Amino acid sequence: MAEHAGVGEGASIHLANVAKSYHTRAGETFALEGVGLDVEPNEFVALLGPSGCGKSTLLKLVSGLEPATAGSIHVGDDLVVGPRPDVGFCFQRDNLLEWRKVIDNVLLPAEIKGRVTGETRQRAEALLTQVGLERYGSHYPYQLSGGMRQRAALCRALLLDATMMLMDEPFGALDALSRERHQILLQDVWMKNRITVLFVTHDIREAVFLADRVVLMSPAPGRVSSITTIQLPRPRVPQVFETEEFLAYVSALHRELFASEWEGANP
Amino acid sequence: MTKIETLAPSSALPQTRRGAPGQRAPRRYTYLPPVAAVLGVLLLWEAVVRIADIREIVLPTPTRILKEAIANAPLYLEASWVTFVESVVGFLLACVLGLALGTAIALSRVFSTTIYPILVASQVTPKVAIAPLVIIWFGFGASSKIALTTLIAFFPVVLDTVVGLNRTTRDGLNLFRILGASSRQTFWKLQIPGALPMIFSGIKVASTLAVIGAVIGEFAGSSSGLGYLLMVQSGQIQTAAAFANIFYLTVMGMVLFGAVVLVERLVVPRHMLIASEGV
Repeated sequence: MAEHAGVGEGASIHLANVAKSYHTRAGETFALEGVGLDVEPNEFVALLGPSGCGKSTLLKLVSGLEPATAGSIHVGDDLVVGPRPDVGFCFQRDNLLEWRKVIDNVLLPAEIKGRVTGETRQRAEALLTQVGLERYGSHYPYQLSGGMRQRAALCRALLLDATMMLMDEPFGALDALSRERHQILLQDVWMKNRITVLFVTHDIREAVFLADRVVLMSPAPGRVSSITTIQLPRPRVPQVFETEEFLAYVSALHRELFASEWEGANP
Repeated sequence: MTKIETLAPSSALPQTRRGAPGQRAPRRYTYLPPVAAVLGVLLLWEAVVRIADIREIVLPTPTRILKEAIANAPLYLEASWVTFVESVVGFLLACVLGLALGTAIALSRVFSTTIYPILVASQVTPKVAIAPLVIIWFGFGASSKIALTTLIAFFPVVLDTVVGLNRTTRDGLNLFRILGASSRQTFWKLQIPGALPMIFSGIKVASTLAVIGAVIGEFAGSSSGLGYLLMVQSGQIQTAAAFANIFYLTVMGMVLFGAVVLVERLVVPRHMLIASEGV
């Protein structure tokens, strides 16, 4: 496979003073408030924080699935007003359609756009090869392990020249070992396909290993509490997990995460 | 690239995780017990009737019933055909009506709250009680039997269509929204395929109810069909003939049910079947 397999250029993301509130019986509850963030093209940004800090909500806003209550979100030069065709979304659960073979799941986006051609088929097969699923195209999802299913979902998200990938704890359900394997694989896919990634996780090690920058969020309402630039060389190999630099990042973030949680608990 | 290639074989061995299609128990083991059970019951029946010397008008032997069924086969086949057509037409109408109503209920909240009370009321009313009215409205011919069959059989299709369509997850809908799917695409590519296993379980129930509907209709008033014939035979205390009649009804019900299962096998992937073994 050619090293320059990437097709387009990743999109930039600009969030300015974004807020999201829900109306509940208790009145208006803010899930996010005053969130500002600039993501560079082709950057890998991890959103890290305890549950309830609105990281998943933030992804939904950027994807256009839900409207922001206040503030503005731009992808490239465009204001986000609804779902966009150039966004790939990886859900917590892989969301594969059980009645479709793996290859047909990967081809779903093209099918919906009405352009399943020989070219898209080739691309689907190339993507499956990239994630080591070349022999599983004609299997059904139930015949695959959780990690394999997530990789198939990744291929589906990448099929139509996504410029941006939004990932909501895609490896959350995997065991520790295959989780690390998939992190390395994701890095590989990201480096080959030029895309911007916004990656939600509550695993500090995962965030540090994968991201160019780790955005730490604090809960109730969700806010950006700090941004850490991770200066570990790429491609990152499993040995990185043992380096002092890596551990220093992890423990700094760990400390900060717990400090913000304490604040959150005792305002 | 090397790292990725080592990933595939170690992370899962799908063939051994859950039995791959084709790794089911050999057929003779799945068919032998039920066949043996049926034969056993028939043998016991024959033996009890003969030993206790039960009179034929109370309980004829299986061999006597079989003789009757074969000797008068043309009569029964002709009557079967009438009842079969009524059942099948009524059943197909029930499927169409059930799917349409179920879809409307699942997709429209307003429609669902409006129609639900009427629907439930129509189902708790005993159909047998309505049968004479249906005869008055539709006459003695096949149309009254078809109407009654539809009325009896459509409800499970409605219920299971609603349940099936409501199984669509929020994530699935979000995926289709992100992909820019139209509501028609979402319906046909996400909601319907996900609902099909449930819908078929409703259709299977409907297929068994269909025969009941046709027979009740014929009981209420008719001049042909197995139900009509059964009324005549039991009126004349021709017990063996009545049993032979029921035998034909049973076979007919099984043919209809079997046909539905066959269609289900073609439409629903095997691993998605709700009762994946046998039925």
